[in-house]
Amino acid sequence: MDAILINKNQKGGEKIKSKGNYSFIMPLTLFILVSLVFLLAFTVYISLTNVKFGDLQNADLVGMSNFQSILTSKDFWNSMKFSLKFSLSVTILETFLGFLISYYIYKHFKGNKIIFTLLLAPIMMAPSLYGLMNRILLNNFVGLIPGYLSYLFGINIDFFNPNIIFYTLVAIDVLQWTPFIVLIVYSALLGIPKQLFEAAYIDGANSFQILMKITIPYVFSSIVAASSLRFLEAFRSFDTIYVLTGGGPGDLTTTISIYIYKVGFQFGRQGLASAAGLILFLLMMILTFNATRLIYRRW
Amino acid sequence: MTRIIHIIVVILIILVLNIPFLNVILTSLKSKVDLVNYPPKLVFKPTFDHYKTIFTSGTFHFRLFLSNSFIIASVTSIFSILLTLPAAYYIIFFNKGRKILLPLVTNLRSIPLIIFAMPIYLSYKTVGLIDTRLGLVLIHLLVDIPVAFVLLINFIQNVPKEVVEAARIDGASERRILITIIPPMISSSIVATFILCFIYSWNEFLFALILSIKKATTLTVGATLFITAWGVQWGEISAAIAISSIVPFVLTFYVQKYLIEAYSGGSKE
Repeated sequence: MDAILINKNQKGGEKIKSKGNYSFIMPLTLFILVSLVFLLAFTVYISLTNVKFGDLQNADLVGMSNFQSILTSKDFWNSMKFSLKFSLSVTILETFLGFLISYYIYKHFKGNKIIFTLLLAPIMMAPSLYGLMNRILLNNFVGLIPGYLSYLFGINIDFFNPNIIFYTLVAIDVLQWTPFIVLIVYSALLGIPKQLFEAAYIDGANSFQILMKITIPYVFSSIVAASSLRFLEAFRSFDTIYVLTGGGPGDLTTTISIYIYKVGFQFGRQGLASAAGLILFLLMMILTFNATRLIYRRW
Repeated sequence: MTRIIHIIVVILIILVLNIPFLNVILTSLKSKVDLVNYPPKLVFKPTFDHYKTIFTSGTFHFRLFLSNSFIIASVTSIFSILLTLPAAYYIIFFNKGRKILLPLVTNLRSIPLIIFAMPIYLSYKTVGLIDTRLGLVLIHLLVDIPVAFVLLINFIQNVPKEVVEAARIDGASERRILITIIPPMISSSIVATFILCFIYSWNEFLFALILSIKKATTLTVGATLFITAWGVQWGEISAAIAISSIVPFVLTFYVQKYLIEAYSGGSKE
């Protein structure tokens, strides 16, 4: 969610002699570089061993066999497929709803801080706790929603049964993260210069034309940025789904992150999990690189 | 008239988005009998029993989780700001570091951290950092630094260039400008950055799950402990979630305006 915040080409003052002031950036640079290099190198090393249950001393180097096992593993590709299906579904829904809500707020409640803050509340909550909240809301023992569905309409639904669990998880993600799109798109809407609307109005444009020709083009890059970030985040979902289903029933809702967690910490096969992690890392780097290009196009 | 309809619509949207949280507060205040009532009661005599239980129970160390979360989030946020504030100043007022440092740090957030779970777990095991607050702080720094960096760059960008130039002409050293001139000018933004870092660390789940056993468990993981093999303790878990979530919820009111400011990049006029 950060990349879009920075105006890439903005000049921040002329260059100043910076001799002796490297101490300003050295601590941060060192911390990040050392952590990243160490973690990546160590991940590569682990991925080449058959380490089990954290017993690094007695592990042997096994070459590329972990990568081979992962790339031919049905579970790995199933979790990739689930993550893709899940993240595409939530991104499309959240982008659509997020734009509608932010435009609505912009039109009718512009500048109303309380409404805006209450709309944003879900994104401030821990995803794991938000998941648990929905478990309390949707379970069949004390849940408010199933309770009243059955009491008022005689509908008995188990929101966690295998047939509809996917939709339940999508709905929960949409509830929590649509406000994220609202935040970014609403901020972009606030940035539209008033003169644009006035000029269009004087030229006789109707409100639909203004929406299509001015408003949407003006915030389009923000919408793209927000939804790409949502996609990247949703693709690696862990917290909410883990507390709700643990990846189950079976491996029906196993995202790629849950898959790696299971392999690494439940089955204790850290070498295998590292290999899967590295494959995911390469994939995400390619995606991020392209997403960043999209996001920066505006500048 | 149309105004009333709009107000109803917006209240409905807010209600739908916040129903999970509101329901948790309701559930946490229900007595054991009211909890299992069918249909679920919306009006009942509230009781604070579940709150009392989680604070006094010997089986769930809720107070420990609470203080762990608080200490880890505070320490992480302070160090994130100490590391990123000078760097943000450097990037804006020396106009350097935009090519390597900035993308390096901001892209950190797009790396799925699960990848690093294995090396972190194995190296922590070797040096004895498993189940320590320090271990979690170190990892949370990787989560918080990108957030703090981007926010502080945006906020420092709004500091008038003339102020810094005048101080330079008067012979103030760069270090002195950074320590005595910049912080007072953006103090409320620094507080907002602290709060956002605090929330991110407070909300972190994956590493708290992997790296803590008992002593360093935070609230996000601690809350899941109320789901036991004998069933879920609905009242207690609701009370625990309510307390854990009210903190970020209240803080949102403070940071809201900084979020817009940061996201609209100072371009709103």
